[in-house]
Amino acid sequence: MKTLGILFAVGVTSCTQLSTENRDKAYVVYLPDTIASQHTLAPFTLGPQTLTTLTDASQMKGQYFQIRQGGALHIQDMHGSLIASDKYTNHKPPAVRYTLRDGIIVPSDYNTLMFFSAFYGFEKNFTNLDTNTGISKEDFHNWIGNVQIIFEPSLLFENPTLFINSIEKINAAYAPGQKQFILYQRSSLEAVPLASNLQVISHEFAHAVFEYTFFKKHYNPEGRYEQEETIRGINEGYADFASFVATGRTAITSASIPIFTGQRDIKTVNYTFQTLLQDGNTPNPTCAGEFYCYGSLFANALYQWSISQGLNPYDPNQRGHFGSIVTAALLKTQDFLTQRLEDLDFSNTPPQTTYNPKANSPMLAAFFHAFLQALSHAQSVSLCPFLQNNFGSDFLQTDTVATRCH
Amino acid sequence: MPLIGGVVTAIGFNLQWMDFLSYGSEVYERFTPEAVAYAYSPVGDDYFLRAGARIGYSNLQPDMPQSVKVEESDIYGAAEMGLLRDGLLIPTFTVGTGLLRRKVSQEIADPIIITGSNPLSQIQIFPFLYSTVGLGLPFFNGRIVAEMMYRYLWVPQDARMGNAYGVEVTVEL
Repeated sequence: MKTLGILFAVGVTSCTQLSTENRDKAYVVYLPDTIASQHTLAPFTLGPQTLTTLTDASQMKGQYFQIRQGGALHIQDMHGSLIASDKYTNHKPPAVRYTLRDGIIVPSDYNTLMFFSAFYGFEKNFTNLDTNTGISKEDFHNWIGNVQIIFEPSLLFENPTLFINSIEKINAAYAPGQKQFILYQRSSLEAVPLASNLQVISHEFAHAVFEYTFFKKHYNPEGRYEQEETIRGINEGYADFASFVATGRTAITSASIPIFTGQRDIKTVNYTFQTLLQDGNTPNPTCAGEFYCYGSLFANALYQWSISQGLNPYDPNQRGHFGSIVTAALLKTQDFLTQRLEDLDFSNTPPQTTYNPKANSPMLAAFFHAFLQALSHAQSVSLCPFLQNNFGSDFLQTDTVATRCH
Repeated sequence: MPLIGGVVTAIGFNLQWMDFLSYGSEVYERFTPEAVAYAYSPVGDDYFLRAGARIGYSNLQPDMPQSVKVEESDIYGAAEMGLLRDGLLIPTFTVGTGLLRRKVSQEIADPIIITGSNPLSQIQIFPFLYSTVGLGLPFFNGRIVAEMMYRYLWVPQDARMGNAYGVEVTVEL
């Protein structure tokens, strides 16, 4: 027994040291800030970065975020990267393994590299929240609390038919209401891991901002707007635009999933809402993403508008300025939308919960009326042509054009 | 088991799969073959102590993205002591300890670049404990034994490891 004790003492001191002390610098996969002066985009990098809000590396706990691993997420409903979940059970702290080299955390395995990388990405979104959205970090933190980032939970479906959807669509997700972020399992189909891709993390983080703004801090899965296919699309579009604001990149998923290149690039959308209308309920050959297509058209309009207003896309502060304009408008949009539906005698109609461009178009037009109303008049007038261009010159309702486009 | 007094030795191999916590709740089976040597000594009617030594190797990697891979190659050695009862079936119980040497290396590809030189590469050495239960099936009057085994490993510095299963075949020398 004494021999065993010596053996273990030698082993522990000569190799990996697990520490509960605060360490603030770790090797992560990250996306450096864009370089405005050279008009270039820096590549994804593996290197040491400072994690300013991490308080316990051995448990991956921080001031704002906490990593969890495994467990079971009980799913009520899911649409795109939004999951309606009512509970998360059997979770456990992550199996974190690292060594320290010159005071820097060196992950000892892939999982741990991703834990630190994801933490860094979410932290980056949080620390830039004021700049990119105009929302105070303190107010947002008071609302969202300490957020769990869950690595590969088991998904338990209350409706078994959802299982088929989940395999194809889940890679990263946000659970509004529960306010949890989910990062699904790694795959050799990925290039840059989704868990370390700031573009993807920023997109998911923006869903929380959308919940805070448009949904007025309260997401009700049974609510009118929550069920509208149109609003799902707008939510995805805002998240794509917010990802551009955070990173300066427009192709949200291409670095991680190269086979998606083009489909989610908000800089170039090669279809219009009219094309979707002509195709009816059948998936469009150039955009098979159903409500995501509405979102891409919205995000592209926001992108083209911000460029037309002189935005240098390589300047994070300028991007943040436009991000803040859009986010501030979303804060007021729901009230205007509710009023608009009442004015149109449309408020008691049932929500359009499925993809159908013709059936979805009244709500889409009403949303744009409300959104333009939430912008300043000058902003509204300058954005209007880009919405008209993407959705069709006659798409916006007549009084919208009369009051918000001229 | 042809043991009548004295010590008998045997060597063989173990085709073993080790459960490895992959990411969240997923586990992947890591093929970890072993070479094994035993020395049997009788301790009573049909009961034998079995001192053993084994070395194992594993280089199987889980599914990882194309641009970032952190690969782990393990080699380990262990010493153990077991108790078994001879018969048509041979139940065994064994406890052991060992040292595992792990080489961690990274593979980074476009579009990711790296700062520094192989920052994640490292050599780690872990101690571990284990206990094994098995059920052997003797052939040729016990000169060859095939044993199905279940092992639980306790690796303080790698909580991803735990269960292992295998089939071991040994030949008397």
